[in-house]
Amino acid sequence: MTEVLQHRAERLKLARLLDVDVDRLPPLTGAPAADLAELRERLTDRLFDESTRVLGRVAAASRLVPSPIVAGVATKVFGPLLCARAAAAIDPDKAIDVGSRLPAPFLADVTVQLDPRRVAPMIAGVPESLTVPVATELARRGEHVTMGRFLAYVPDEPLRTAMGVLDDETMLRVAFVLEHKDRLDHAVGLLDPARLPGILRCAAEQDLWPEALDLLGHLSEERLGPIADQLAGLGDDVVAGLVEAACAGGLWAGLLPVVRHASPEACRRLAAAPAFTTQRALEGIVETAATEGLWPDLAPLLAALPARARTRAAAAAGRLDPEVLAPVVERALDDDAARAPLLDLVERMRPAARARVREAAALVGRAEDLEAALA
Amino acid sequence: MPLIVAPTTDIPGRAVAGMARVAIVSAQRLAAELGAELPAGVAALPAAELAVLADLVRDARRTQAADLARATDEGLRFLPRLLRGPVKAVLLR
Repeated sequence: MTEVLQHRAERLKLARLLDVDVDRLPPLTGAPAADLAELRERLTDRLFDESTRVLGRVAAASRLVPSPIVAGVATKVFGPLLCARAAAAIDPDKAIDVGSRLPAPFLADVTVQLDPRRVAPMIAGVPESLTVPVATELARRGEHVTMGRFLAYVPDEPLRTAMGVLDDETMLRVAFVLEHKDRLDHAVGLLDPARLPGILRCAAEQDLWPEALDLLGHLSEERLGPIADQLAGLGDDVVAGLVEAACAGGLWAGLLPVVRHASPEACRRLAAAPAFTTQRALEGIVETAATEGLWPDLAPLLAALPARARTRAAAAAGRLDPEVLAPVVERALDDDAARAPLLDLVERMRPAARARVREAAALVGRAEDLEAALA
Repeated sequence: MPLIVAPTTDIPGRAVAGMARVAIVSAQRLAAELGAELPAGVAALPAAELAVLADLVRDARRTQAADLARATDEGLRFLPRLLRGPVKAVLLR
């Protein structure tokens, strides 16, 4: 997620914690999103800690009262905000029993205000019969930020079931604002593989490629391969949309690792897509691969590109500064798979561009190695 | 919303020092409401924004305390008579 979107999400979460409309908050543009998140966590601790004594007594009292009556008091007197605070103090089994007697819209209101860190044992025990209606209600309201706060705490089975009822757009939007991105790979592993083409198509139709690429950027090699193959099978128009989004948003660093993990056949199909062979796309690809240390990710695509496109890529690479090219040359000379595509580009370059590559090799003390490889 | 920052070179030194003092006071007030140190990026916010945040945090704390007191009080009235005594005893412990 970009800093701008993260900042927007953090302002929203802070407003919710303060129980005010987000417009009442100052812009806070001078503080990074990470600092706003820290502020929110400290404020959460303050509000919870201050109410610990009273809520502890409420929790003790709730043990004496049958769950149906507690549920009535929760909706009629406590309301969602106080219920969210009290949930952290009440015994998890009691909280779940009470929760199962509350309507989904009320539970969704409570969920928006919950601090998942404090109710982790309760979330771990929440049955699917509660997770699914609440997730559905939150999705209906477009509460992606709230859902993104909880995913890391929901056990596998309820998570699998909840993902089964969420639509593709919701999945992409929640993944984008997720707080614990390290859980994404595991969550995608629980997803029915048959959903992947639909999610990719949704990214194309709803203009959600930045969200999709952010998601893909957090997946392991094991998951990326099948996804890249699916992508290649979706047709030139979908690939064109993806390439356009990568060009417009500078998102090549998210896309190149995906292409790298495609099967040889899928890589050939992607490389043959007209969108990948335009001057604009190749300039973005080559520059990103060079500046972000992604040359090995680019190598399979370069090797599969049509000859004319490789000449364009060579021209793009030849315009880079020797300082930028130096790590590319060094890495390519040490990597069998990345060497041949680089040498092919150098052979296609004009003399001035070749001289820049030689200068780059000299900068990293590999001038002789480059000459030997070119010979 | 873009922040408009006054060019400090056009402001007399004493005024700049005064603005810095106001920012420090606002940051201290927010930290006191929070009961914790402010993250660096938050502490560096303009004084006016820190003051609004401090007010909002103060209001949230007051509202929560008042709502909790009201809810525990009113909640008792929803209980069957038999339970009110024991529950009240636990709440007032």
